[in-house]
Amino acid sequence: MTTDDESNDLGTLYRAASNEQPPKRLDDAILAASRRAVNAAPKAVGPFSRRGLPLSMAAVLVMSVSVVWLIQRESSTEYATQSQTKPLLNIDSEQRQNLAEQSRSFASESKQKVSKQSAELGRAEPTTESKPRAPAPLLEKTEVAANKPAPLPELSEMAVAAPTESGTVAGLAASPPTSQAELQPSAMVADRADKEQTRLKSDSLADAAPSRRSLANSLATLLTEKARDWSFVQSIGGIAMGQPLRQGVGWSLPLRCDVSGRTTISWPPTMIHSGLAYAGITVEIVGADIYITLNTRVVDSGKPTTDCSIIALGNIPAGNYTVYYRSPDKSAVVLGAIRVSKIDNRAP
Amino acid sequence: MLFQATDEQLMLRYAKGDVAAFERLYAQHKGPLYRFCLRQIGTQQAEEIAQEIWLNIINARERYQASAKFTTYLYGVARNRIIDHVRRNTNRDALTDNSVNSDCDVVVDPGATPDVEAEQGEIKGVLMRALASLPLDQKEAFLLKEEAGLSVVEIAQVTGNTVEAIKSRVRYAVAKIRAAIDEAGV
Repeated sequence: MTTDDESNDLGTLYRAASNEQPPKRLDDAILAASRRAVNAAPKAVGPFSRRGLPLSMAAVLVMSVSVVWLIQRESSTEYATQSQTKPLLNIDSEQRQNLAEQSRSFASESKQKVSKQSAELGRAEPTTESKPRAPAPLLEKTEVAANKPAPLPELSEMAVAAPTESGTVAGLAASPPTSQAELQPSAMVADRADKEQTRLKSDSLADAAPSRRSLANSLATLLTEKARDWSFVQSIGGIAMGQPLRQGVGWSLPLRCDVSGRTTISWPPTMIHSGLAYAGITVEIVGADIYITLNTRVVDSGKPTTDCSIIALGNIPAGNYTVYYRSPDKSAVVLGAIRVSKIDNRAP
Repeated sequence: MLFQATDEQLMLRYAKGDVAAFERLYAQHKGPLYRFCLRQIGTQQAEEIAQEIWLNIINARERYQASAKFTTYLYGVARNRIIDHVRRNTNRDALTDNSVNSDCDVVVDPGATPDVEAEQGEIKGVLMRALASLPLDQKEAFLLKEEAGLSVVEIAQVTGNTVEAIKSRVRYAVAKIRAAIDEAGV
């Protein structure tokens, strides 16, 4: 008999002899414990379980839509508080022509006044040959002869749009030069013009490469961009424009406004919009009329600007144009008149 | 379906909350495990230790992985628990004494005649006393083979010894028990 056979025989003998069982109380205790453990265990529903993931995604989606909706509603509410603004002026084409003539005469008078003030202050009267950075009084003439270096149009020379008065010309009839910019030395104004020029370049770059914007910013802009009416423009301190500039093959129109409501442009702002950013100006040219509309959006994570700057007019023919601010409801307010000449007044 | 499931499948089902799977698993292994404890530490402690072992299995159900055979897992837990118990209460060598013999109830085949009954009872008594007198490592190897049904390789895995060492222990255990039976002349 081998060792394995002996082991098998002994194993059989042992198994026949060994048949003790645990007492029933032990069985009951262990089985009860097994049931308690299962019943007491929390249902495992992790964040990425079969039902948890769709629920989490749905919750995130609902919250995102809610936040966007709330932001839009908040923006609308800010605007609604400005509903006490004065009614817009509705004018026909004949009135527009008259207004354009009045605006031109006003601009001429303003230039003369400033020239007189400059003389009284004992400063050198700027000429067309003066250097752009030379100290000069405000509201100096910017139209220069061809082939001469021309300074950028100064903001002080911009037509200033005033709050609309019933029966008066919006923007021009009640526009004493009260803004800070009009009281600054021309060197500062020249600096500001440089900034405007720089901003023009950056705006051009931004317009030329919209694909550089992040997807999130584009989405935020798409969702929150909004055309603003004249009441909103009044609430942020107004809007001012300068004389057109030659930009390449087309013309551009310098504008000045601050959608945040922290800058006095034409009059003191009545509302601060800390969550809004400048989103561009919509331009439509119909004959000799130029209609502009301010667009804003909710501030996103990028580098938003609140100041409007130069807008492109395209290669429009020379002549006199009347600039209107047009609200989304198509009502228009005259901002002023501009002249597009054949003379190239591009800055050197 | 439940009756065709392996031990590993039953344990995995219980880990997912199937109490019936555990009841089936317990029914299959409660006797051998109880006797594995009983032969090493006596009746009183065997109940306590068996309950602790099964509670360990219950509480660790969600950590169980079917990569190993369930019996290997179960008797690995049992062995560790018995060693802890021995270290906590007494010197392990003391377990090799014959104190276990008094706890070792010899069950006789109820259908046997009085003569056969007497002979069977005598053989079983000799066998159990011989088993109780074995050194613990030999007794452990023998019990893992006969009660748990583990192979020599599986016993080596559970105990952390070499296969040759386990073979040797089993061989010595069988030889000693056989010698005791032969010496008793039954």
